[in-house]
Amino acid sequence: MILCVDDESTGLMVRKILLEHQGYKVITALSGPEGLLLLMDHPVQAVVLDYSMPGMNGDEVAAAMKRLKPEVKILLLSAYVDLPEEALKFVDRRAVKGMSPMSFLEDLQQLLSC
Amino acid sequence: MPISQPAVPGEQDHFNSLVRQTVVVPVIALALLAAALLWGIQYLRTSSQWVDHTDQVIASSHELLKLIIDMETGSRGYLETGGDEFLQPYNDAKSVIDSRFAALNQFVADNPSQQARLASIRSRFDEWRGAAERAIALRRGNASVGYEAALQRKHLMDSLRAEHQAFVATEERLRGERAQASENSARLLILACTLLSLSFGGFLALFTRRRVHFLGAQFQGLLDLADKRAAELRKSEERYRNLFNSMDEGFCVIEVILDAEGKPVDYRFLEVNAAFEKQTGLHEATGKRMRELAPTHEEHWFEIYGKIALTGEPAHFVNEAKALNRYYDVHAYRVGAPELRQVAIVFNDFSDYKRAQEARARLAAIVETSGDAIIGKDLDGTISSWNRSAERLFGYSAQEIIGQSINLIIPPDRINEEIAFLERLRRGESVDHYETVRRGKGGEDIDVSLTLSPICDASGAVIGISKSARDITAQKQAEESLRASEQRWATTLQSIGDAVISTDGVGNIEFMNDVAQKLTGWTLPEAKGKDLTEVFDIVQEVTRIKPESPVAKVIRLGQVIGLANHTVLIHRDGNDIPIEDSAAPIRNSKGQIEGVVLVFHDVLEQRKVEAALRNSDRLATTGRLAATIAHEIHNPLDSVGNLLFLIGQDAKEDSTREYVATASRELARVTQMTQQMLSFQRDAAKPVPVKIGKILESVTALFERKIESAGIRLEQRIDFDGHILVQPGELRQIFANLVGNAIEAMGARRGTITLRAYESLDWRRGLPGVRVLVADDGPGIPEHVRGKIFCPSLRPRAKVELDWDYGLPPTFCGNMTARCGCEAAPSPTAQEHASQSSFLFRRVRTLRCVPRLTPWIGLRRLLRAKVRGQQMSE
Repeated sequence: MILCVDDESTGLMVRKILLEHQGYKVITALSGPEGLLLLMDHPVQAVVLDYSMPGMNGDEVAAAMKRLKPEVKILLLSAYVDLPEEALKFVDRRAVKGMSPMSFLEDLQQLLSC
Repeated sequence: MPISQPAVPGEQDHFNSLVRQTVVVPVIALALLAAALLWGIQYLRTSSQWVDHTDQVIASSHELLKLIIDMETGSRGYLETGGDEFLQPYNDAKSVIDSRFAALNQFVADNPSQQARLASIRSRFDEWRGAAERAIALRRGNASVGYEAALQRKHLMDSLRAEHQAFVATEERLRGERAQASENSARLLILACTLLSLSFGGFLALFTRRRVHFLGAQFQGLLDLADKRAAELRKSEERYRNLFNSMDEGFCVIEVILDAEGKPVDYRFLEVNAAFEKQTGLHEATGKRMRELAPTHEEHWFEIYGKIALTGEPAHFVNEAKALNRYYDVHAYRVGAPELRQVAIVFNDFSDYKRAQEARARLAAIVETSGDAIIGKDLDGTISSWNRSAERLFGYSAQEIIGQSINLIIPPDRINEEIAFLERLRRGESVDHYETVRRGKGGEDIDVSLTLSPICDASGAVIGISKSARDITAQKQAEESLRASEQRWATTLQSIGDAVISTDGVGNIEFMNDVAQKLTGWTLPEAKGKDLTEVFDIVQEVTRIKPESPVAKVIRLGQVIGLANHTVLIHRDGNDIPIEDSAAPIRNSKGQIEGVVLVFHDVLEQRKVEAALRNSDRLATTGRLAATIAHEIHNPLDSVGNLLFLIGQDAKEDSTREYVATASRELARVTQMTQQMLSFQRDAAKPVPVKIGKILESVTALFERKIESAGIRLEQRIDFDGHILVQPGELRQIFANLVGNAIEAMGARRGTITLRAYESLDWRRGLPGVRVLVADDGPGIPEHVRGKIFCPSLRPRAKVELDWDYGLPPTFCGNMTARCGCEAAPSPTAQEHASQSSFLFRRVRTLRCVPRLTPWIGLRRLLRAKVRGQQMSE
């Protein structure tokens, strides 16, 4: 099961469709706190996390998730190429938003397989 | 003068002998008289004691008889009555009778006949007592006592009484004899004493009269002698007083005053001579205290006089009395008895001599320490004095040259010079600052300036010459140095980048350097002497109004001034040149303004650079805005990309898949552009330690697909794993620009882009750092723009010629390298090979976050030539 967290509802919905189309089971959250609640209640294997969000930023959410479930894999999505190193401390993999869906899916596949 | 001190010793002995006799003889006579009296009194006393003794014996014998009669009466009463109470007197007397006999016997121990008589009485008493005892015993036994026994006792008692009477009669006779003898003795003694007293009195009267008469004569003689001596002393004192009063030295006698602890604190003048007032300036000092006359008189004076008064040691000293403004030469000694603490002082005002001495010492010190060599010589040229500077200047010590001829220090060819000086000095003239040459001990010539003055005696006759020689070698060197310095400054002024004009105090031009000549259009010969305003024609840029002349303003304000903003210099050919300048006064040693120096420079180039920088900043602001927008549109682009992917997956018709593929490519293009815009966002305002490899990785990740699609090979080698202190966003942007440009420059060619980072040295300074190489084998930068690649003003042309249509323009790139602490410059390789072009970014700031490294980054771009690896990097 994949948990997608993004404050952008359209993007979140499209990402859910894309992943479901590839056969994943997907749940979504529109904010960091909501994502944390879902993580606690569901057997989530991987999280696709947007970096730039109001309230809790992606890195903060990632840190909280790792504290809750250290085994969960986190893929951080961001439009910025030069994220600070601290932001990537609790993240297993990162992908640049806007890159082709193929590479995004490959990234996710590799994350789950490792 | 005391009487006890006659002047003649023999007379004194005699006088003393007389005094002794006068005293001793009466004393002896009186003592003898007293002894006779004592003996007489003692004799009388003894006589009287014998009379008293006889009285005592008589009284004691009567008492004894009374006791015997008491016993007889008691025994008789008892014998008659038989009553025991009648025996009481008998028993009472019986108990003490023996002791009374013994006492009486003791009294008459001196008289054996009386003792014999007392013994007779005792024997009769003892006999009677035996008879009485027997009768009493009989009576007690009620036996009758016989008549014979009673008669016997009566006879015994009668004989006893008769014997006692004889005893008493003898004693009374003795008493009468002794009383008579005592009386006779007393009469004789009184007579003897009277006679003795009269004879002694007469003798003493006669003796004393004679002696007193004699002593009186002696005393009168001594008195006459004392008067004679006193008269002589008065005469002597008078003579001394006259002497003291007539002498020039001050004289006084003082009495030292001590405080409670015995410390000398003041002195009182007991006597002063006539010269005292003249010598001290103190009026009517006699009877006054020194502290009263001169309260600030130094403490040491009191101490010295106090010591003399207390110890009696005389003193001679010279000392200053500031209160009296004089020096004194003083002899002081104690006079009179020590307890009077009187000191006689003879003193002389020493001030003139002392001051002259000081002045001489000062002059000698001045001469000795003078920087000029000062030499004294006789008229025949013999050196008589030679100071230290002369020793230094000529090398001869005073000891070795005094007494020698002055010719020793004169070069042979200048001997005549000295003779001419001597002639002038004899005429009373002097020689001032005559510059010539003299010879040192080592034979070296010394440039000197001579001043010679005659030394005259009291009559004004010239007796010697004082010669002062000043070493002017240093002065001559200084003049030469000044000339060299002036030349140096002139050369410096000629060579500096700023224009310099100097004027005199009224504004006439004296000097212009080359830059000033170029900017004004006037040559120095043309401008020299002309008024500054004619040559330095300035106006306000906008209003075209002529400002106040800088020279006039400097003279008016007396300080450094700067010109107003927007000042324009009108060149001689009529063109405007914007300038910045300042003017400063040139002052002489007295601080007076002797001229004005004007410094100015052309600010046209500076203005261009400032405009370019302002433009660059605007561009940066625009970049940040664009990045924000790009981020916002990135989200929908992401969704659109995903949707197109889904549509493509589900499309059944080829045409639809074709359209979706085209839309996806176009979308990828848009995404790449927005990512470029996003990278304008600078994440760190201050430099932070980062790994260069991470930055390069993120850049290549950005261009990965583009490089792949263009068929370009990327050779990447990161050999430096340490941190450098930079603003990562800006550095990333620089690398992104260079890599992006390299990709674009490659065009259709399938070339190679090389990315390298490694530790290396700054080839110019030898400092350790990090070199980053970005190279491609594209066409390169044309030679005519290579050196000016970062010049903002050249940007439009560079863009056209280089087809720089992607990423940041080089101006912006240069600006950013400066901001992130690097320096951009063409590499030596680019200069050596015209066909190659490269950039060199050199880190110039020392960074504490990077251990033992001063990082610098070399970025080289090769647009056409082959990658040359090590050669290029070095």
